[in-house]
Amino acid sequence: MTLLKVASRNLRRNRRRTTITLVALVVGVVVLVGLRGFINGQQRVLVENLIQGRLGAVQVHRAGYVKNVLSSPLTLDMADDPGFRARLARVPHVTAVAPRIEFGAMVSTPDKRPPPDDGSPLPEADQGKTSFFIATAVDPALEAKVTPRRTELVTVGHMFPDAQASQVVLNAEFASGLEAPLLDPARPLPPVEQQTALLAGDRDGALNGENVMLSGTLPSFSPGDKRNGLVPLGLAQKLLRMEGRVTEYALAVEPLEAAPTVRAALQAELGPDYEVHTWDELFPFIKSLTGTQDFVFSIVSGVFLAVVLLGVVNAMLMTVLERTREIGTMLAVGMRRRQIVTLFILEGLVIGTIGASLGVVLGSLLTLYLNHQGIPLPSPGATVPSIVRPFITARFLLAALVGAPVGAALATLWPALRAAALRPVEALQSP
Amino acid sequence: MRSSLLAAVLLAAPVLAAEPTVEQLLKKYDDVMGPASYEAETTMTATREDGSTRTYVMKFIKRDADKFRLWFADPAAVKGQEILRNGDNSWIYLPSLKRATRLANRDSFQGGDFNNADVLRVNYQADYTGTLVESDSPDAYCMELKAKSPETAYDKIRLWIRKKDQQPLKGQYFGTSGQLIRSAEFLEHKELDKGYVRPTRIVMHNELVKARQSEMVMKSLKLNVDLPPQRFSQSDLGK
Amino acid sequence: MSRLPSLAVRNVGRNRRRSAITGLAIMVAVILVMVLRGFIDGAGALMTADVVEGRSGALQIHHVGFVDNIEAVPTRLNMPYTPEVLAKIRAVPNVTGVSGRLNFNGLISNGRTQTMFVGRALDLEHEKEACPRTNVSVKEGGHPLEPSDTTAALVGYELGDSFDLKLGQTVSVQVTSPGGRSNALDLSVKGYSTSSFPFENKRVITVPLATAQALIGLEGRVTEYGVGVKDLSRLEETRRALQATLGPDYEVHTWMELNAFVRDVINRQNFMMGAIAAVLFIIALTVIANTMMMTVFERVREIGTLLAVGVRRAQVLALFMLEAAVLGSLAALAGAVIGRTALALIAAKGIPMELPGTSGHSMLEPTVSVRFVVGSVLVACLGAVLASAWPAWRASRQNPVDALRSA
Repeated sequence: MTLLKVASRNLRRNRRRTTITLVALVVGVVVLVGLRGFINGQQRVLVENLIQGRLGAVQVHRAGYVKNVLSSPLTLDMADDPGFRARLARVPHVTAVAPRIEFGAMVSTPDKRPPPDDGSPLPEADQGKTSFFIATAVDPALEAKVTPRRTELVTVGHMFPDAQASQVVLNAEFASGLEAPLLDPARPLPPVEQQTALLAGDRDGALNGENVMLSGTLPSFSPGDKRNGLVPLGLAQKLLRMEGRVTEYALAVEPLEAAPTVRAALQAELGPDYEVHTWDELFPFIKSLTGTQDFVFSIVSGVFLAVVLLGVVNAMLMTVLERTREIGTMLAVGMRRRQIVTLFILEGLVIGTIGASLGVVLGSLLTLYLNHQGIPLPSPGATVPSIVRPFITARFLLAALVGAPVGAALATLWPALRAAALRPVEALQSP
Repeated sequence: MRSSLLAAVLLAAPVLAAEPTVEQLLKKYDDVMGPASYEAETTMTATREDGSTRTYVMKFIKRDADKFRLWFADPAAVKGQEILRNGDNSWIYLPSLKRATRLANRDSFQGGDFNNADVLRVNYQADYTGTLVESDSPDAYCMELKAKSPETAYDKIRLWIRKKDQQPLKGQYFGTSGQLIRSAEFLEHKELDKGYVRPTRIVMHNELVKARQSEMVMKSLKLNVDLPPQRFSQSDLGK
Repeated sequence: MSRLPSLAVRNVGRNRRRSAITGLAIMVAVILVMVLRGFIDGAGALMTADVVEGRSGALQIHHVGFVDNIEAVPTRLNMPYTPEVLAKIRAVPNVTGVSGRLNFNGLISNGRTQTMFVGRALDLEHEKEACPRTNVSVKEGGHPLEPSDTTAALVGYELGDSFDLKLGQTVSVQVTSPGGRSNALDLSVKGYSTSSFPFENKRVITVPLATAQALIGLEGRVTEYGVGVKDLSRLEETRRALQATLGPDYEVHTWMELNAFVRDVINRQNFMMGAIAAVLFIIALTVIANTMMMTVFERVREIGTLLAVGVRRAQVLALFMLEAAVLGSLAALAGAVIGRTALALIAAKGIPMELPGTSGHSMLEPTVSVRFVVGSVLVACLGAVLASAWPAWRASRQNPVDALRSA
C-alpha cells in the first residue's frame, strides 16, 4: 500500500513525462475504441442490409426446403393463417412475422408497337422481351416489420403499396434489360396491352398470368441477384393458385443475438415437419467477411498496442536512467530489489489505469458522438448507400480497461528489472 | 451416298421394287406425323419424376410448316388458354390477362418431354439424311437419320417403321455426344380421317430421368380443313 | 558551423544508452508501421487478386450485348476462339494472357430427378494465363479439374448433396444449342465446389471448355475471354486499347465493372485500412516525438553549459536537430531494413486467411512498396528532428544560469 503511494507520488513528481506517457496511452486507447466502434458499425450496416433488407433474422420452411434444388419447391408449402402466425410470434424474442412465397416466374414485356398491318412480323428491336426470374412474394405491411430496409433499397420508383397490388419490383439491371416500363403514379394506368405480364407455373405446373406494372427497382447485392424480384403476396397467391398458402416465414428477432435461441425454440415448437434457419446459416458470405475483418482488426490492434506500449517502455527506461541515484539511495537504505521492481510496475499500473480510464471515457464519447452523427461511407459507385453508426460493446471497453494497465505494467517490467539490477554504490556515483 | 447407291440398285432391279427407299419412308413418315394442315383433338399426360401426373386436353390446328395454334380445354386451371406459334414468334393467351403475351421460345412442349420438333415441326425430309440399317425385328425397317444442319432438335434419330403399312413403331433420339436423350413408342395406329392412318398414342420417355415421360393421345384429326391465315395471327387470340 | 555535424555524431555516439533507447523507439515504430502497412496492402491485394487472378481475370471480353442480355440462352452471343483472335488480344500492350470461357445453362439429372444448372466451362490449359491463381475451391476429398479431363465436372456442393452424388459418380447434363439442338452427356463428378454465395453452391457446375463446346455444339467458340494484365494500374488504358483492337462487335469490361459488389467491399476495406494506417503513423510519430522531447528536456543543463561557453542559440538548435537527424535516419533506416526483411520472411511463408467470397484458404503475403518505405523513413526522421527542435529551442531561450540550475 505504501509502495502504491510512493508510485503515485513519483508519477506526480515527474509531471512532464507522466503527461507525455499518459497522452500516448489515452490516444492509443481512444483510437482502438474508435476503430473497433467503426468496424462494429460497418459490420452492422452489412448485417442489417442483409437481415433488415432481405432475409429476416430467422426463417421457417417446410423440412427439406432450403436444401432443395429443384426448380419448383412450391409443393413444400405451409398454411398461412392468423393462428399459425400467432404460434410463431409467441416464441420469446420474435417481434414480427412475415409470410412469403418464393417461386420461379417469367416476365414478359409488351411489344413497343402493334404488329404491322401487312402481317409481317414485328422487327426484333420492337418486340417485347421475356425472361425468367426468382420472385419473392411479400406482404409489404407485414414485411416492413421484418425487413424495414427493403423499402429504402427500392432506389428507383417505390415499393408496391399492398399485398393485392398488380405491381412488381425487379432488379434494376434485369428491368432495364427487359425494357420494362416503370409505373408513373401521376399518369393513368396504361391499357392491359401495354402492361407487363407476370407468368408462372402454379403448384401443379399449370401456367397462369397476371398483368402488372413495374413499380420500382432494386440494386444488386451479390452475384446472382440480377434475377431477383418482389411480388405482392396476394397477387402471387392468386397467380400460383395458392390462396392461404406460403413457402416461407421470415421472423424479426430482438435482440439479433437471440437468433440461435429463437431457432431452437421454434424447431421444438414446430416439430420435424418444419425447418428453422438463422440468417447466417442462410447467407454465410457476411459471416466470412466479418470474420476476415475481425482477423485484420486483431492484427492491427496488436500492432497498435505494441506501439503504444513501446512509448511506455521508453518513458520508463528514461525514468530508470534518470533516477539511477534515487534507486541507489533506496537500495542503500535497505529496500529490497523485489520492492523496487514492484514500485516500477505499480507506476506502470497506475499510469495504465488512468490512461485506460480516460481513453475509454473519451473513446466512448467519440463513438457515441459518431453514432449520433453517422459516417456516410464513401465508396464510389456503391450499389448500396450506407451510413456507418459506430458502437462499442461493454465487453470491449472492459477488455481495454483491464488490458491497458496490465500491458503498461508488463511494459515497465524490463526497465524495472534493469533498475533493480543496479548496484547501490555505482548507482549512487552516477551523475 | 449409301442411299443413292441403294436407289441405283433398286432402279436396276425391279424385282425388289416392293422394298421402299429411304426417301419414300421419310416422306411417308412426314405425311403421317406432320400433315400440312389439320385440326386435332388431343390429350397430353406428363408424368413427373415424383410420380405425379397431369393431363391436358387440347385442340389444335396447323397450317404450313410452322404455323399452329392450340386451345386448352382441361384442366380447369388452364381452360381458355391459347398458344400461337408463327415461325419464330410464340404467344400465349391467358384468360386472366385478357390478352396475348409473347412467350420465350421454349424447347419443351408444355413442360412435358415432347420437343416442339417432335409434335409441331415434323419435316424429317428437310432436316435429316436417312440410311437404312439392319433391323432387329423382321417386321420393321430401321433407319438412321443424321442431321443436315446443327439447327435440328436432335443429331441422330433411329426410327423403326412397320413393314406392312410403313407406320412408325418406335423412335430413339440422340444428342451430338451420341447419348440417347429420348425414346418414343408409337402405338394404337388407327384411321382418323378418310384413308389417313397414324399412331394415335405416342409415349415419349425421358432417357435421362427415367421416371419422366409424356404421353400424347390423338382423339380425332381432320385433314384438309379450311384454316384461313388470320386464325394464326396474334390479334385473333382469345376469340 | 562546419564542426557541428561531427559534434552531433560524437554526441550521439558518446551518450550510448540514451541514443540506444531513442533509436530503438524510432526503429521499432518504423518496423511496426511497415509491417502493418504490409499487412493492409497484402490483404487488399489478396482480395483484388482473388477476383482478378482467381475468378474473372482483370478484363473480360464478351460479344456486344452479352452483359446486359437477360435471355435464357446466353450461348447465342458467342465469339470465335481461334489462334488469330487470341494473338490479336495478346498483342495489346500490358496483356499477359487470355483464356476462353463458356457460360451456359441446362438441366442436370442423376437418373431420378433433374434440375436447372448454370454451367461454367474453363479452358484449363490457358485459364492460368488470364487467372494465374484460378481457384474453384473444391471440398475435401475431391480434386480440381485438370487439362486432361474430358468428361469430368465440379458440382456445387449443395447441388451434389441434394442429388446424393458420390465422387466419381456420373450425372447427365442436358443442354440446348443456340440453334435449338438438344444434347446430353454423362459427366463424372470429380469434386464439389464451394463458395460463400449460396447461389453458386446450389446451381453452378464447372466443366472443361472442350467438353462444353462439344456438348453445346459450339466447337471453337466461347462466350467470354478472360484477360490477364501485367500492370493493374494501367487497366483502363488497356481496356480502351482492347476495345479499339477488337471493334464494336465486342465489349470489354474491367473486373470492377462486372464485380460491383466485390469492388464495393474492397473499396470500403481500403478506406478503413487507409484510415487505420494513417492513425497508426501519427501514433508512431508521437512516440518518436515523445522520446525525442524527453531526451532533450533531460539535457537542459547541457544546453546551459553550451550557452555559457558562448555557443550561439542557433548553433545549439542546429546541433540538437542534427543529432536527431543522425539518430533518426540511422534508426529509421535500420527499421526499414529489418521491417522489409521481416515482411519478406512472412511473405515467403504466407499467412493462411479465409476470404469472403471463397471458402478456400488464400495465402496473405504482406508487401510494402519502396515508395512507402522511403516515405516512412523520411517522415520518421523529420518527426524526430522537429520533435527535438521545440524543446531545444525552448531550452536555448532560457537564461544560461537558469538552465544550468535546472534538474
